[in-house]
Amino acid sequence: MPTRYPDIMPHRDNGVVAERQLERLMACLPEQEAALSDLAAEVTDWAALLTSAQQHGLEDYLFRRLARAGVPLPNVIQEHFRLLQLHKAAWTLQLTAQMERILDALQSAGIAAVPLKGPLLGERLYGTDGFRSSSDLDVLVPYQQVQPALVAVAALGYQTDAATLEKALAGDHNIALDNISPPLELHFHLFRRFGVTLQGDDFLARAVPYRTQRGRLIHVLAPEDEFLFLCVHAAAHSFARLAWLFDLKLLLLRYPTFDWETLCQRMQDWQVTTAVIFACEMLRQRLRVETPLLTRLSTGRRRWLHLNQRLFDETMCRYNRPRRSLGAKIGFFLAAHLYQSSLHDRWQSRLRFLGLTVLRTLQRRQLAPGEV
Amino acid sequence: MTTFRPHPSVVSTEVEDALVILHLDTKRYYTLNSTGATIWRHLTQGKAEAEIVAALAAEYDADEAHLADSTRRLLAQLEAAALIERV
Amino acid sequence: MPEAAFSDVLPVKRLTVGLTNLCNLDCDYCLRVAETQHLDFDLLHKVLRQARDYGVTAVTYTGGEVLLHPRFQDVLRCTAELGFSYSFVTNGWYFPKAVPVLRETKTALYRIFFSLDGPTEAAHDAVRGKGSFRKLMAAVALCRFYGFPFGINMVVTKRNVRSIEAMAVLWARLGADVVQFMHVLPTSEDYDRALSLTPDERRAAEQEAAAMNAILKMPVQFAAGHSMPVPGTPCVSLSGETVNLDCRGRLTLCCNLSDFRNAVGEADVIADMRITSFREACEQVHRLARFQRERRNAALAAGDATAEFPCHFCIATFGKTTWQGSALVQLGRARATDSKPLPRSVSV
Repeated sequence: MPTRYPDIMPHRDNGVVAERQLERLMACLPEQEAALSDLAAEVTDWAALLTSAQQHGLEDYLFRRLARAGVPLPNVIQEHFRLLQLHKAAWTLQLTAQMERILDALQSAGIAAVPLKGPLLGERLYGTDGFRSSSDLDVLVPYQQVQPALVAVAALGYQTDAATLEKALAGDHNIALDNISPPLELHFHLFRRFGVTLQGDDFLARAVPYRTQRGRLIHVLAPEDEFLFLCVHAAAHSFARLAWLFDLKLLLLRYPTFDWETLCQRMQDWQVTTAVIFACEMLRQRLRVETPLLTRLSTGRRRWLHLNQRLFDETMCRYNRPRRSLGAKIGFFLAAHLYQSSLHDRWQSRLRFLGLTVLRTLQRRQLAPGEV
Repeated sequence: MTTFRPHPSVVSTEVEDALVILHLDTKRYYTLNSTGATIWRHLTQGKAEAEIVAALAAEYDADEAHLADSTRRLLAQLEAAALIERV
Repeated sequence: MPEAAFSDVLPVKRLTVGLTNLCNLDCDYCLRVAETQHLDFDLLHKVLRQARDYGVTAVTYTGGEVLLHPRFQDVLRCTAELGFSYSFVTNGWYFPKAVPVLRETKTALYRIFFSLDGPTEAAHDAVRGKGSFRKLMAAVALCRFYGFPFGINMVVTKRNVRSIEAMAVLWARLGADVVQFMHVLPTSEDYDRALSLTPDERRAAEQEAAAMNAILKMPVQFAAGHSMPVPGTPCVSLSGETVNLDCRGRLTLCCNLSDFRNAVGEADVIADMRITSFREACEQVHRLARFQRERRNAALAAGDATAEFPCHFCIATFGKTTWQGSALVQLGRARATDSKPLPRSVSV
């Protein structure tokens, strides 16, 4: 499902104290849990912190660690968190069970499938340390097998119509099946953004085996591919959720033999270098994670990163301010689209994006999924 | 000896000191406290009711009749909620 | 008009009917078992006829979400045809579908009650899910347009106790006939800890409502279960004026006790209306009502603090709080904890 953008987007200048505290706390997890107590002493508004953590999908992970570190929490916060935790546990069970059914159905139809993000990523990265937040399920199948995949999942109740499918295949990277709960996004490309289509077959070919907690053998994206995908996804949604950056952090910890050379090559092959670098920069700024990618940027790349940052800052600041006047609306519109275009790797792609933006604006239409 | 097993549509996960149980068909979810979670664990291991009580008596410092009574009540609740079925 | 079986209970004037326990929402404090049980229409029709002959003049439909009953429109039509005035409680999600039958039966419509959890979209949607507040406001707009009388119900919890004044003012401005509050009745230890007010907090909330009632032209009140530290008849169920038909076709003492989540006790369930006449069942209800009044009076005399709040007393004495010693507790239905997404667009 498309991300729900908060009323105030995360940004260092948005004035949301709880969010800064959340970032500092998450920056020391998981490896510096001992520092939690000291950092927690700065928190004066626990309700705001819990709310912020929940908005960023991290309340379960963080508050479990706080409890484990012996941080004294107000009773009302503990009680509220307890209920959130129980709800989340039930929902995660629901998602996990449904994902198993989906993978069963696809396997029975002879379709190679790879789950993306969701509870299985949570299982791999969070382990028993908390439940990862997900509102839906994502599965990647080969493009040529979309139709049989739809037939397979139709047996579980997921329905779509021909017009929606045609439109999705023409310009999108997935088809949203949300007529039942939990909703399913059936990806036929890994992702589509910044002028590129990450064609699924290549990623499916490199998928690696993984045995789930329930003993099932499935395939998941190779770590470098997963990192690339999560970076592009987070960048596409303007890093609205801190959990997406935390996923990246945990992924790097989970795979100490992560191959940065492979990542660099694939970034270039798929022309998403700018987006991935910017995601790593956000990872550094918000969660203090240093990556080799940033230490070996060329001068030109460094300058471009600086531009990305400025445009991102401008966009976020304008988003977070009232936009009642025409001038404010136009200012935000320009900043947002310049920022988005700056994440494209190629000039042709940037200009195409900006040109389409102008055209669609004149036509009073939104950009189609394949045009962003 | 009465033996139960979890309903095929039931999944569960531990959350701190409780167990969350979800019935996938009804989507209703429940919590079991730590004692209930212990009983559930024994049940999932295929123990009959009497065996569960014996296991509890070994783990807890409590009157066996009381444990038997609690176990029976919980099993009745679980069965009424369609979370377990008789083998 | 039948004579009252007991001189100290009032004749039954109102019937509350649990039409269904199916709901599209999953409010954490909900009293009801989360199921899909609809009251059989033919049975309802039979009971309504008998109730009318017995002297009942008004019917209130509750749920679950009443509009999810598959024959909701037929229910209202037959209620009106039998000469009753009717009310119902709804979350507003499906309200537009009901407008035609409401227009058709408008002369019989007494009031529509909308369930609300706070005076703002954020507060309400936090409990009921994204979009709920807007759906409710749209439903209210339809009521205003068609002249359907409406009121607001709010269950008071730790989350919203500070918004009593805001609720009252908002709904006075929006043309509600009444704003009614009710103290939350917990269905599990977790919810009790997270949501229940202390007795002092409940009294303070009641005073706040009373203060608003004194200021505004619109009634602002605690509908049931408010503090009554003296002996007497605290509510229309224990007075005998109101009896309840649950979604399983049984006559019970009170709608608040009916189909109570995580409960074991069913002493409030009197009779299966498939095999019992309305008259006979009401006589049994009246016996129970008198017994319960006397039990509460005795508890007050003995200094039992729980007896001050009648609904809390009743749920305890009728075995609705067995979760307090229970290992297994139902919390609700699994659903996404995230908000629903905005439409896809290039926004930021």
